[in-house]
Amino acid sequence: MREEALPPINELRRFFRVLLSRGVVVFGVTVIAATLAAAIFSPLIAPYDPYAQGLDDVLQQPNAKHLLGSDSLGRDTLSRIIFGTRITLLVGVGTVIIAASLGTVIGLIAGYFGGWVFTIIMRFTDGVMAVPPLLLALVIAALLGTGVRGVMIAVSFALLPGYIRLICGQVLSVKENEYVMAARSIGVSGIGIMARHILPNCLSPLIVQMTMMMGLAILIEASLSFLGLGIKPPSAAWGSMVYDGYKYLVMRPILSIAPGLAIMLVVFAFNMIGDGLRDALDPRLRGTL
Amino acid sequence: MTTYIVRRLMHAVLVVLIVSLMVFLLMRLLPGDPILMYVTSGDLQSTSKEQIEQLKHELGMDRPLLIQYFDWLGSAARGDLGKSILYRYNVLEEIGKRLPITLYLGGWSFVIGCLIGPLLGVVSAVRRGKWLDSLVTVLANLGITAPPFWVGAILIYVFSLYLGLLPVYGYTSPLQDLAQNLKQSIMPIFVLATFPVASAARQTRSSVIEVMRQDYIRTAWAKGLSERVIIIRHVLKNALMPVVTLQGVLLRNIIGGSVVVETVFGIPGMGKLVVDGMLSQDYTVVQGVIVVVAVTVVLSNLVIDVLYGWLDPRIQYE
Repeated sequence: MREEALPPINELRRFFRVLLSRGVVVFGVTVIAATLAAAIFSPLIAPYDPYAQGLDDVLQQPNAKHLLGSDSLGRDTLSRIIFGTRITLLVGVGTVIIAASLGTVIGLIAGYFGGWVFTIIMRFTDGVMAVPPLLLALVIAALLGTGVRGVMIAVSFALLPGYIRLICGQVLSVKENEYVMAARSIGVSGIGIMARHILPNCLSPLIVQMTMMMGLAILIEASLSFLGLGIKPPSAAWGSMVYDGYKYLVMRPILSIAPGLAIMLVVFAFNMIGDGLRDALDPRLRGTL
Repeated sequence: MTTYIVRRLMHAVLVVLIVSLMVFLLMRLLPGDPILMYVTSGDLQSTSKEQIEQLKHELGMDRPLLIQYFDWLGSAARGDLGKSILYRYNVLEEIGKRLPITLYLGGWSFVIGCLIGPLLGVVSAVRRGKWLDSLVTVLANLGITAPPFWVGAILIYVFSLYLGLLPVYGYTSPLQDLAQNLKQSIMPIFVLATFPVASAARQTRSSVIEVMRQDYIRTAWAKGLSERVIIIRHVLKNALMPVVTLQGVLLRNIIGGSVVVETVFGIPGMGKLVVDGMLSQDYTVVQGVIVVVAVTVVLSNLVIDVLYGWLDPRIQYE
């Protein structure tokens, strides 16, 4: 007698239903989509060239010509914020991808092989984690010289230990499962086991952590730029825009407030998407955030 | 317990050694020459190549890296973190002057984070779905996303420049002038405490909601216990455990945040020292500060771990 088949559950559809069930997550997705569009189409959207200086337009109040005013060199604040999305997304997404990829490989190696490999890697991780990420990024960025490359290396390095720990912890629990033992007993190589059996089980927490860390990466980059050790003017980086505006706080507070709000909005959006992903990927936590 | 603490202390020493080696190598191997900075910053513009070599020799920078490291480490173990390359002051003495300022501001922020954060989290979880919960959730989410330097700038604009209530920057010791100290510290402490409060509130809310779903809480309700007793005796005891472990991360964040906050408010603490040291590539200063920061973080983590085991008897020290 044939059993009546249950209707198949579409996992992907369920994932999206849970992910987008909260308003703030939809808001987060919308903000990131808009930021991405702004980054890609900056030259088309921005009303002015973000680097064009104008002596007649120095420190303008918000007006019809400059919706968010202009800075001490007469550059349009709105245009600089729009172009700033490029650096923000590049650093936010780029550093997290670099740190997560390296962290995954190192974490897999540490967790899978164990023994002295594990000890050396984890002690190094403990050492890096004893220094606040911002401080560590500050030292590396200052030594590498200011610029996108230096900042990206610095922020990636500061984020790296978090991923090593996460993946290593996952591997340690996953590798005890029977299917891993079964794979090993039929002669699957170490790399094969890691790639085919262990890594897929680490992906959910990794994706959540990556989304959450994008906000942190953006905050670290902005802090470095604010301190003068990140991306330097004339590049349109939101952190250095806040710093530039800080000097004219009495006269034109909008110069600091506007880029700061932009940073907050994007970081908030990434965090909300991270919360939503955690809800969607880990049913036990659903509704607690 | 004693064996555990001794083992953790040995681990702490190892971690600090790793940090010291890492920072030492970073400072030496990455591009940037402090000697060049020293030469070009002072009245030594016309220094010849021979004189630069002589200067390197005097500072011991012409020796092999490992010898330089062990030499520095040996001195550090004896309480000598060297002299600032640029300004020639004693690094440990300078840290000794600045560390209390950073710890004072950071300590208050930490205490506020430990008290107000969990309180907000519990209130929010207990009143889940009500307006108070929505308010706390929104504020907590904003608190973890707001860039500290930006919050500082906004506070300065509103309370110092616009309302004229608080001084823009500076620091006075509470022993010298308590009133002035309070006025100068309110804004920096607020900025430093924002993240710990928000983060602890989120974590507490999440873990209280999780605990409230447990069977023993349902049993407590069924027994007819009052809400107050259930929350205090059954929920809080279990829900606050994950929040205690979070404190180590928060402390690390507060120390990291002091770098930005001290720069924004012109406070002469460790954070300002390290930023100035970095901007001038004065690496003995940076090395010294980072090692002291690492020691502070590692020791506080040790205290938190021991406290965690004391609070939760289920944890076994192996």
